[in-house]
Parts: sequence; C-alpha cells; structure tokens
Amino acid sequence: MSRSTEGSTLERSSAGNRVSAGMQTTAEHFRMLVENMKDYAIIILDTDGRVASWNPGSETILGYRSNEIIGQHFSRFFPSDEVQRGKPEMELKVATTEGRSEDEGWRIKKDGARFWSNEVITALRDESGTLCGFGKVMRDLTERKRAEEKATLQAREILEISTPVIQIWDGVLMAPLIGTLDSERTQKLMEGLLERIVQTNSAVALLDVTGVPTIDTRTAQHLAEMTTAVRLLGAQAVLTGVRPAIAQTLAHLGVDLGEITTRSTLAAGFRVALNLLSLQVVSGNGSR
Amino acid sequence: MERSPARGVVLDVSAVESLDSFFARTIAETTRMVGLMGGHTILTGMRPSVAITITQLGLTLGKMRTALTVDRAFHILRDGSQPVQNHE
Repeated sequence: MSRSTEGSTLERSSAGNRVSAGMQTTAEHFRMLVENMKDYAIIILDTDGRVASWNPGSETILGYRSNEIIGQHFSRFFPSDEVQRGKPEMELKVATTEGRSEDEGWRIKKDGARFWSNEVITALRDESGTLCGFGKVMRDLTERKRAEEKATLQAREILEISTPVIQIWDGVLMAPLIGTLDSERTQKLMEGLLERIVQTNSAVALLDVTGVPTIDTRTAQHLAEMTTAVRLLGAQAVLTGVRPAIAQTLAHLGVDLGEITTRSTLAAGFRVALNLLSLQVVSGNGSR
Repeated sequence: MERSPARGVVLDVSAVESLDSFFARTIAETTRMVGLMGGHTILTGMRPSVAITITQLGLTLGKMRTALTVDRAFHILRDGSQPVQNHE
C-alpha cells in the first residue's frame, strides 16, 4: 500500500520533471528543428518583406547564404513578370489581412534557375496583435511538378494515338475504336473524323468497334451523335465489328441507334461502303 | 422554284461558321416546303465545327439529304428521286 503510494508520487514527480524539462527545451527544440531542416526553406521577413532570418534549408533551396540575403527584399525570389504584376506585395497583403497566404509557382534561385515552389506566408503578430513580420515556408516541388507535366503530356499523347482515322480506300475512312469511349475521347475522335472527311472528301466512314470491350448507354449515345454529325457533312457512317455481346447490350439498353447502318465485321462494313460509293459516284466508280 | 423548272434545291452552307436553333429550324422548314412542291433539298458543305454544334445542341435538320460537295449534290439530284442511302 505504502509502496504503491510512494510509486505514484515518484511517478508524478518524474512526470512533472519531464514536462518542465520539456518546457525549458521547447524553444531550443524549435531552434534545432529550423536549423536542421533541409527540405523546407523557413524564412522570417520583416513587415516590409525584407529577409530577417534564413535557415539552412533556405540556403539549400534558394542558394543564397544567410549573410548575402539578410536585409534583401524577398521579391528577388520571384520571376520578373510576377514582380511586375505585384505578386510579392500581394502575398504580404493577403497574409496581413487574412493571416496567411498560400501559393504555388515558379521561383528563382540565386543562380537564376527556376524551381516549382509550394509556399505559405503567415503573418506574425505579438500578443497585442501588432504585426511583427512574416514567416515564410517554401518547399521545392519541381520534381513533382515535372512528373505532373509529363503525365499530362503523356495522357494527351495517348489520347492522340488512341483515336486514329485512316483512309482505307478512295472515299472510305476507317476509325478503329479501342478501349473505353468517354466523352473527351469521343469529342476528339469526332473532330478528327469530321476534319478528315472534309479533307479527303470521303463519303463513307467506318467506325469499327471490334476493340471496344463494352458499350454502355453513354457510349452508344456518343456513337449516335458521331454518326449524325457525319451525316450532316454529307457522308455516311457505318458501325462495324458489332460482336454478339455488344449487339446484346445495345438491344438491352434500348438505345435508339436510329439510322445507323451496322455490320458484324469490318469486311461486311467495307462491302457496304463500296456499295454506297458505286451508288453515289456512278460515273467515277462504275468502271472500277 | 415556281418560276424555274427546278427539280431540287442545293443549300450550300460552306460559308456558315456558326448555326443556332433558329437557323436549323429555318433549314428544316425550307426543306419541308420544297418537298411539298415536289422537290428535293440537299445540304452541302457543312463545316465540321457546325456539325459538332448541331449534334451537341441536339438539333435535328429533319430527314434532309446531305452531300459533301455541291458537285455530289448535283449528282444526287440528277439521279432523281432514287434514295441514295439507308434503304439497303
């Protein structure tokens, strides 16, 4: 009993010690954190935006040593066009009125190189609410930015190559559709197809869905739109490669494919195309 | 149409850059009227952007016949009333 009381007293006092020891070193810990942080630039600006303190992370990211940058205005981290647009002042203004300002954008290092920065400016106020300066934390996200740009570029490229339009005969175009047809792809394909129809003066466009795994209501709708647009130009679209599974879905969905001519195979569709051509261009194709 | 022995009308819209529902309706009505007078109307030269707009707006131009060029439109008219497509 007495042991347990003693134990709890000990425990309490040691816990108390730990807390007070912690209190004493909190400021020290924060100083160490800021001094050792290499991944973040932690900068203190005075109320005018001049650099008042500079951590090693800032040196790593921006390239200036603390003795060459302290006292300089932080607008030198911005590209000249951003400075002309008043971006640095704007950031300070927003931070002053709203407490913080977050931004992402290209910034300039000492050697003139650009880096993609994610940054937050926080207004520093004392207990009476007087503005003492600003804390700015910056992070170099160039690699992520470049990866994102690359991904966007690749996505666009895939979009380009996934919607080819091929001329397979004088007056006959073929668009092999592969994969899922979403709105963006359909739009792209439609534009490409219509342009090609006008360019090559083609009377028939074969839309081959052999490579399309499934068709839903939207896809069917897109296909219907596409054939309508083709018809408006004065050409005709033929849907080919309609497999049993797709035919079944289309029948179940009850989608009105209207006047679309459909064929089960590309070859059958091509026969339709030749037929249409010989009917339309009698003198030109009759002798062939 | 009344004054000349015309068999049909070719509407060349190749200079039309944009099209609204009113214009679409006018075209559809013209087609119907020409049809009532026993003629055919053939729409030619529509630009891709205009065709896309029409489909996106869900407008219809009726059962109008279309041709890629004025030349082809004349061919269709010359071949008479024989339906060119859809009746296969």
